[in-house]
Amino acid sequence: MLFRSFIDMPHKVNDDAIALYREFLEEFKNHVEEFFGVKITDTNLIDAINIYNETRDLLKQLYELRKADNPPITGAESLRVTLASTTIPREQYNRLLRKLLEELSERNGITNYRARLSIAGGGGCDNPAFYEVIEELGGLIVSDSICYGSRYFSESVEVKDDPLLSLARAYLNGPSCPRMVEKLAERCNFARDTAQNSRADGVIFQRLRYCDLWGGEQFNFRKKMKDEGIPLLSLEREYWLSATGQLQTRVQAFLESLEE
Amino acid sequence: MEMGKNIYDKIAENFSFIKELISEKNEGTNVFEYLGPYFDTVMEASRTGKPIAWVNFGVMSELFWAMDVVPVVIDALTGAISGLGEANRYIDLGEEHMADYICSNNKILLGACLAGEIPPPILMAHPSHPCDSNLATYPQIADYFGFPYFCIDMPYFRNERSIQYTAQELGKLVKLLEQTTNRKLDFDRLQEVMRYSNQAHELVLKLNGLRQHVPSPYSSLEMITEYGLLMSLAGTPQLVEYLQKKYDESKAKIERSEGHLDEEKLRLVWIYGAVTFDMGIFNWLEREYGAVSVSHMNNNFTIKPVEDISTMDGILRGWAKKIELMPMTRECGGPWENYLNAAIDLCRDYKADAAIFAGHIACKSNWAIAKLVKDRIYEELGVPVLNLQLDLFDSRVLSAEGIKAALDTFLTTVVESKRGPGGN
Repeated sequence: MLFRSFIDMPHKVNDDAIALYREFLEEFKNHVEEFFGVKITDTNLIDAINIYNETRDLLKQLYELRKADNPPITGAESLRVTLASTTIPREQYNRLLRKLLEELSERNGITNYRARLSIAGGGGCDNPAFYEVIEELGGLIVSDSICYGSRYFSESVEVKDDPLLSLARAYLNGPSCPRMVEKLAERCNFARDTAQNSRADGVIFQRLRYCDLWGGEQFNFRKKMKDEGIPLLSLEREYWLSATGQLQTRVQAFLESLEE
Repeated sequence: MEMGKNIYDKIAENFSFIKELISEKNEGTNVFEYLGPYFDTVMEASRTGKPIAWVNFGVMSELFWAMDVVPVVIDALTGAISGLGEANRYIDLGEEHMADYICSNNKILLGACLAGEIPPPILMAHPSHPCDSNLATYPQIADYFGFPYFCIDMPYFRNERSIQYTAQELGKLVKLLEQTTNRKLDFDRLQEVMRYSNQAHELVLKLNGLRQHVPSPYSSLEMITEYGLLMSLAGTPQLVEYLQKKYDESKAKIERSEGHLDEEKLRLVWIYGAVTFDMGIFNWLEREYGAVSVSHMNNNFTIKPVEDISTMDGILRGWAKKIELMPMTRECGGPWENYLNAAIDLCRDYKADAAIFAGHIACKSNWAIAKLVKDRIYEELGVPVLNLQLDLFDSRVLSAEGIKAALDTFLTTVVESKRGPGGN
């Protein structure tokens, strides 16, 4: 029998929702313990949280490097790095990431780009080839506010007495997907701040076709970016890389508009 | 109809088209005798500035009537807009700003707001399940047009904990409504509303029993259109009066061994949505095939009266239980077995000869299980199911003629099969 567990998640962030989510996480922990015949102690959890927090700190350092005038790493490479964190055992990943940061500090920065871009939106944005199409045209991706990017690591878990409660609080308080209600302004502000802090010339808002949540989000997102004077390209894409010709045309036009 | 006119006015002034459809073969109490005055109330409130709140299919209206706020059930409203032939213009306008694959129900509301043809409410409330498209659009619309918004967060699984959490959420909704209206909820008035609400639920349960009778005492359109009334007038004496009349009339019909049709040849159960843009389809089914639509998932209210209305906590818990059992939330929010079991029960209880899954194109999660549900209904009950992809509000996805063609092929086969070899 395969292990299967469903972790429910509230759509809001408040004390009631955090307490409820903590219960869901505890049930998941119990389920893992029961199915695999293991015991997960508070000490185990705190140790794991610390290792994952180290990952978050290291990824933040990586993203700091990308803010430079001549970043030592492309957006596609950076996405590969964050994606690797989801599969490589964490201690090993952290070692590799530390080594990468050392190497990047000695690498020559990228100079031959036409514009600095920040990627926003979401919906399974785990395809570096999508970034490569943009970067091959001269749009260097210097930051993002996507779920496999900065939204994944920006909220460190502050460990207090109860590690499950700490996890619940951190996961719910982190930058959200539009499934979370009452955080609309926060999401837009996060994307804006991310773009501005990395001195992006424009934002590409990309969403997966048939994702209702991001399909609705673009309504206010567009207005927010316009109000802030941030140039925006809104793209709909498939999960796999397709229609690259159309994508290239739209990105090319966007880059030209940024250069004017 | 001209552009720019308040949509409430349009609906209130144009009820006759559907009233006539319903009246084709009905001599008894007509749902529009009650929906008409309700929409007059909405229209009047809109004109005079009396507070109007928007709720969706997951929230019944008792709280709002108790607070002297006129509730407008968005899904009944958009259905009426579609019936008036106004939906496509709003959908197009909505698609200029949101993704085209979002539910047309939501796009109609957005389009009407953007066109300036529906005044903003004082508040909007809906539960977090089952539609992603509601979560995607309602907070955006509320933020853009600047009115308070409340999502009633509810867990995925249904149990004592979910009732407690949802009841807490509903308590917060009451507080927000009090703040928004600057009024305190009058508990005596709330209890009065809840007594009417409970009476209505008892009558609906009794009526469900009568509607399961063969032949059906209800016409297809009576069954379908009752939805708007049950949702909008929950907690009012008008709804109790209507349901009592319908109960008495249906019971008398059954006692006289009469059905809605002289000869009921087929009993159809709609295990998902029902077309809103051409309600004449239901009369056509009756005329052409002797096929009465006897039940519809979204109109299948099986909610029991709230047990304890002596305290606020009791009422909040009762509402929380009710929200979990609201049609569509009951089936589509939570594990897929909820949907499967409800669809099988519906076909069995209403003695279906055939079932229609009128699959709304934007309901991606429901389409994921359409084939599974179809197969299981056939395996367990021997009832054939037509899975039909359409848009319930947008006639451009599959037109009324296209729907009729699909139904014709399906029902001809079902009728032939029912007759058996050499049958008639």
